[in-house]
Amino acid sequence: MAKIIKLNLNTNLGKILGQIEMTPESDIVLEVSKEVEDSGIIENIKLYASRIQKTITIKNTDSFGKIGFVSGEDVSTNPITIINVTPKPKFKFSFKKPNIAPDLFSKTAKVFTGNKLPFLIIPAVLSIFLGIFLYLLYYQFHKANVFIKIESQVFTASKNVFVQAVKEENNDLAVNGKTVTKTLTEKAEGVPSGEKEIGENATGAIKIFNKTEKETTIKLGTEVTIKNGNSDLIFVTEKEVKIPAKTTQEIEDEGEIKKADVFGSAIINIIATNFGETYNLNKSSIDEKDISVKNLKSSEFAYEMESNTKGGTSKKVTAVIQKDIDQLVEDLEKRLQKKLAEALKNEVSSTEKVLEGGVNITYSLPVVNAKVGDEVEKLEVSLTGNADTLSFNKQELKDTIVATIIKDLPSEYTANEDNFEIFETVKSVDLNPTTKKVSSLTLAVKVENKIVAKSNTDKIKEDLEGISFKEATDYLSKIDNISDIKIIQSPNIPFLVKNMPKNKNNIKVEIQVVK
Amino acid sequence: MFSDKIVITMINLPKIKIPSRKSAKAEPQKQVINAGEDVFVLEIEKEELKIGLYTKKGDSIQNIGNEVISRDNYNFENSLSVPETIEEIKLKIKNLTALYPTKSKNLIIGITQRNIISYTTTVRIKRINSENKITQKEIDDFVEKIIANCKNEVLADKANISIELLNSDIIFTKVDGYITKEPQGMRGGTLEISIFVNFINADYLDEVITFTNNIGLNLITIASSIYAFNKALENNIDSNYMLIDINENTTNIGIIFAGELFYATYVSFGFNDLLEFIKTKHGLNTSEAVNALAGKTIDENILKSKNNLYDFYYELLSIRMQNAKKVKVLPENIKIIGKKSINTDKQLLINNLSSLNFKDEPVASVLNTDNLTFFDNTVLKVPKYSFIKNVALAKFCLKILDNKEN
Repeated sequence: MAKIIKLNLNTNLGKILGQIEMTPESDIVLEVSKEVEDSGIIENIKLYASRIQKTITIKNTDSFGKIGFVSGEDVSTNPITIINVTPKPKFKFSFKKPNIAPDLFSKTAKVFTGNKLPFLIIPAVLSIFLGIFLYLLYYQFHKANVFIKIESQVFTASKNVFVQAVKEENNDLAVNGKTVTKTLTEKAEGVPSGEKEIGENATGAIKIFNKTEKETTIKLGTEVTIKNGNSDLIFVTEKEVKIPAKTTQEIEDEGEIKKADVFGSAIINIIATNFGETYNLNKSSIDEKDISVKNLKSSEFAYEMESNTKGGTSKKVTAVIQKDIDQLVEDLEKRLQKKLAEALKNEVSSTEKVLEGGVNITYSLPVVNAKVGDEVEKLEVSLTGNADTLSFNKQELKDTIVATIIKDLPSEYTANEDNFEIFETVKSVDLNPTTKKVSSLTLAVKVENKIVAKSNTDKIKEDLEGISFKEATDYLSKIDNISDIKIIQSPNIPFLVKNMPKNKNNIKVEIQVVK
Repeated sequence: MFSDKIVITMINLPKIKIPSRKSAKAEPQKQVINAGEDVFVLEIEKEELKIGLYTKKGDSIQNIGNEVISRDNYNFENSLSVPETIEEIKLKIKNLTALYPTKSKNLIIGITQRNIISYTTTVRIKRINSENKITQKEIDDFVEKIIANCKNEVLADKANISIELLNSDIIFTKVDGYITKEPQGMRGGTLEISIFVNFINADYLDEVITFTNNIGLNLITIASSIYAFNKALENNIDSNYMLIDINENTTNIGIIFAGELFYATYVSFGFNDLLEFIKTKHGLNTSEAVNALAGKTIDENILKSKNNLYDFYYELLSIRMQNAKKVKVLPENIKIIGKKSINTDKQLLINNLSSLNFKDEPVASVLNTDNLTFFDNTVLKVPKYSFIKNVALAKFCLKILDNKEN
């Protein structure tokens, strides 16, 4: 007879090889699912078996191997009932004549006649009563309670279930989704981490001399460049100024009247184009040639510092940088994500469920109390998140998936329909292209249940009739996934032979499923 | 050294566009490539997850935290969508960042060869204009077509699955028979390109992407651990070696020529299988079985069992190596890595592999993190043997980030 070994993907290969080596049988049947067959370990097992002159036959249990069924569990294609044990022939108690030769019987009969008869009748009667008593004991009073504990096995399956705002009619795995929305606004504060320089611009005045015969107008904002060392400092005029043309005047020079040119001149106020102490200049250190005005030829105009330029200052202050705003926005988004997910869960009743992975959030533009470069002591950002998702009815989901999964359950097993455990994970979120709201969710749903092989107690009783306790125990231990066997005999008479009752109606079988 | 596959008509193939995969979204998230200097590594094996956090320090990398999640008779590779697994990993990541508050979310995931389909092909192309210089664009076009062809060949063998390209490398090129790593600018009538590609099951890839979204990290790449290990080794240009990665339930094998992975495969057998066999057959407990496998027993029967089993294990490895059809001669330098590499009886391994066709007498060495010159273990030491691939994955990821930045 072949040895049957069951294996699944989690079975240790070395253990299997050890079992193959240890078993006395040379023919071994491996009960495996397709998954195990495809995993490549079967070739390794066959190779090893051939080294020790044993043959391996593979029994594919894939008739049970529908999607999700835990591979490799006890899935024999034979009905999961008891492997037959040929019970001992039933002992029929009868008042048959002893098999004594007739002449001897007649001699014996003579012995029972005459004076000795009364003494011999008593043992005979006693024997008869004893026989009746034993008959009653074995057939009527002898009872046995058989307690069996069977371990349930985990049955798991996974399916994709679709939660849809508009449920598809012909899709067995679609459930109704209800749109749930929530809007929250959160605020965050931070301290700016940037730095900038601010200050005052220096002001002063220059005098321009017009050597031409034409009046010249210097417009407001005209650039005045003053060279200080290696730096060209740019100032601008603060208002429009007209510079008169040169005139000719008669002057007395050593007794003679001579004509002389008198240049036109004007004083112009200037302001530095940038802040800082650099622009504070001492007029005594600036030469005429260090000053130039845009669009004026140096041959036609001359310049001098009318006064020192002063008032230029600079200092570093804390200012807002983009990273400050981005960091606060990032923190707000994280906070909003969590809070919105919780809020959505609270929006639905206890019969509905919302999954965090199925939440779609859009954020408004953040509202900030300052922009980049601003000098503020505290940066405040507020952000509004609009979240939407689809909730689903927990019972509807369970019913939908259980209805599908039940079809995959092998006929020899039974599941407790109330004990399906459901685990959902969001696989993908689809948005309506127009409304940009969640229109469907694809959930990866895993179900688990503890299943038990169906047992035929009538068959068990029939097969246990009259056999010894040891045989009964061996017989019962062949039940799949059995974890404990207890046989309690009554009456509990010490000398009573440890056999099962002859009458199957006196055998009570109790099966307890252990989780 | 290699057997060639000659395809003269490749140049006439239509241009096949490799579709890009939309990542499965578990929740709305911005995909930002953060070219920072810290990186998370998650190594997924059947009964164990190893998580490491690494930082770049000049030319070296340092480990600044590591966590391990182990569970017997469990399969993490198939449990990436289990909420308990996700929560446990998130907690471990939180533990790591509690001590070192990095802003980086860069993650590389290392997986075993079991979930990868590796493929090597060599194609010879007859160029229409042999006097024209070979350009980078020409090579890129050929490579794209070759990869598409590889994908079709893989799918022809494995029906009802869809696969995605994970990574590809040119192992070598030949121009008119002359081997070169840089054929650009050369002229020639025939161009031979040898390519190694790694494909991954598309559903599994989706699962991994969903998983990384669930744990709140940015996935930079997924790589098989031996592929990343080879990429991370420095100064291995033009080196030829075999890589045997011994773990608890899987042994990964790689054959490297001229610094490039040429062939990769695995055996569903590891150290735990050896242990369980000895325990089952001789009724030993775990520590007795470990000693027995190390040869520390005087029981002749146990020693005999141990030797027979190792014979079998190495026979499995040898069969896998023989399946590398395009490899006529194996490199003699054998490097052994992995959590259980320290238990290897090197001489026994060499004896068992000696029937294969090696270039020279094979030599085996066991590597650990001390052999990785780019790893600075002065800050935090890691388990030397079990974390060697974790460190290599970190190096590989940082290389990718450096390239992206440049």
